[in-house]
Amino acid sequence: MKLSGNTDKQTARILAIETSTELLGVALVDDTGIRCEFTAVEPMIHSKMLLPLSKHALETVGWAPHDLDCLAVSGGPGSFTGLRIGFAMAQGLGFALDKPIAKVPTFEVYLRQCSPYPRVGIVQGRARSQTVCALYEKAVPEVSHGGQASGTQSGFNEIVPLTAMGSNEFLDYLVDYLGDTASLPVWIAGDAADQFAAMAGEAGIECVRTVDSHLRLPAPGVLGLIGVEMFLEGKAVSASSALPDYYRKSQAEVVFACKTKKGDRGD
Amino acid sequence: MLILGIDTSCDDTSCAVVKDGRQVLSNIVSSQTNLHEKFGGVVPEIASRRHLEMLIPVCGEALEQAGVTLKDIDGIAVTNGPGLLGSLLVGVGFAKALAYATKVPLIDVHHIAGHIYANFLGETLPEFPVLNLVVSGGHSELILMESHGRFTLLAETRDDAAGEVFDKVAREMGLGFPGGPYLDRLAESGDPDKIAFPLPKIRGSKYDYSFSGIKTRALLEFESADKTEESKRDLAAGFRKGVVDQLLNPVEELIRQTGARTLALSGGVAANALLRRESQALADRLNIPLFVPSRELCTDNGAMIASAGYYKYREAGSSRLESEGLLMECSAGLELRSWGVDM
Repeated sequence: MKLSGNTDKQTARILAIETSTELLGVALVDDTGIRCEFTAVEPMIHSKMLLPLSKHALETVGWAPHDLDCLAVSGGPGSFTGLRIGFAMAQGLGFALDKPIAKVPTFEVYLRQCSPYPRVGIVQGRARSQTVCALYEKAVPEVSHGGQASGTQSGFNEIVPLTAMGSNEFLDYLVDYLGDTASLPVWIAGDAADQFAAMAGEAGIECVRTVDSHLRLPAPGVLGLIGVEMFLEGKAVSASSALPDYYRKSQAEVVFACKTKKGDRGD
Repeated sequence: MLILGIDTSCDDTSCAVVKDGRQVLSNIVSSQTNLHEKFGGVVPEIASRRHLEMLIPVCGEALEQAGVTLKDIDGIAVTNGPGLLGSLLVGVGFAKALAYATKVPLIDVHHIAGHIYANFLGETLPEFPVLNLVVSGGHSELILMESHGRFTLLAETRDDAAGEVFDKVAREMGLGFPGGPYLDRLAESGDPDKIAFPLPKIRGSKYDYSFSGIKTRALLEFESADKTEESKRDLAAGFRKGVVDQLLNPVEELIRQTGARTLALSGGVAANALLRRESQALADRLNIPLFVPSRELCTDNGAMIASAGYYKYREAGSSRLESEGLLMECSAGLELRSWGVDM
């Protein structure tokens, strides 16, 4: 992966796989940019269509599977099953082709595509009590260095770090943060963006807006662009060690933990 | 021909390499029992997460133990139902990617067909027609198989599966997890006639099973019993006999009716000692051979999937599989369909 001392340019051909929400998407990306991108927003088709769509993408661009240098997959948080569909396929391709996997944090994808917005909240998860949320604010660059300000990778500072919490709780954090800046908008992305904005509206918080609809769900092309960077930085991992970050335990474990606590008290 | 078989339908991650449908070159099973034990049953989300962690290690080991690489594999067979949907999706997604990357056909295998084909892994093959008693934690079925891939369902359970009631009763009796094998062992030293569990009357079908009634009865007996070791043993023995009697009750009549030349047990409950003994006695009386897989081929495994996949590949042909394989879907309640009807 070293670039120096080698006259052959390191190629970075990536198949990007996005299945963390009801958006199913694949993209082929290399160091020149996005070569092709296919998406469909339709629940329950991911398992059936992900591989045919990937095959179609490769045939469109004229790459063979073994031409790929790396797989990029949406790393979570997101739908548990959706993430696994993406990872199972990425693992299978990585294992069979002996290629590494760039596990791209899903919220990095949101932030990258929402970079024009000054204040961005992400609310992911359809059940109100089981969302994963985060709040970011555009970093003010002291000295201009190409848009890459301090803080997170995409030039945002973290206000509320990525946490599994109910959207009610996130709204409380948001209100705390707003203080006397409640006249400026906060833009919400994520598959629960509409739901959250409606909830905020009902609570009388009027500055909460949803981002443009084409930016609301993570796009595979953007995922692939970050994947190329990660691959070139040596941050891709072996296929067998690429696993999703779920951020939430299974419901059975949560219930069991509660029961055990009660049981301990009873003893 | 080498088939890689993959099964992630419930809580075991398994991959196997099988030659020509009958010679097991490797059969690796990673059990998750310890993860689910404290919950008293399989937690689907935990199972699905674990499958994703284990697939590459298990698959790698299966290839290594068989002394082959992915390049040597001629086809990939994977369970696409019935089972836990989240678990099935992991295996199918992985299998699709392997098949695509290595340019071999992907073969969808029904889990029950897989269990049935566990009896085809060996030197001697069962003679058709075969009457299959498939009994596991999710199934209790009598299936006639007239030739490869031709299945006719003759009887099924109306409610709980036999393995399920063994596990549930064992859990209430505090015997361990999964409880079926513990209950089986305990029953060996008990008196089955102390508490009798008569056959249930089922409306409609002569042959169908129903196990929920005797499960409830066993739980009530346990509640009111004095819970000494002796009474536990007797209850286990009586209950086990009740289940086995019911399982075998329609078999003799169906063998005569269908002209079956072989009786075959499969599924996790085929490891049950009493079921094996009683089936053998019945087969001897009817003068037909009994096939029962070895213990490790009774429970879920990749080898049986590879064997079924091999025959399906041979009968159904590769062109259909190549065009449809990558569009494969999973279903938690997949129906068993014949694949060899047109042949």
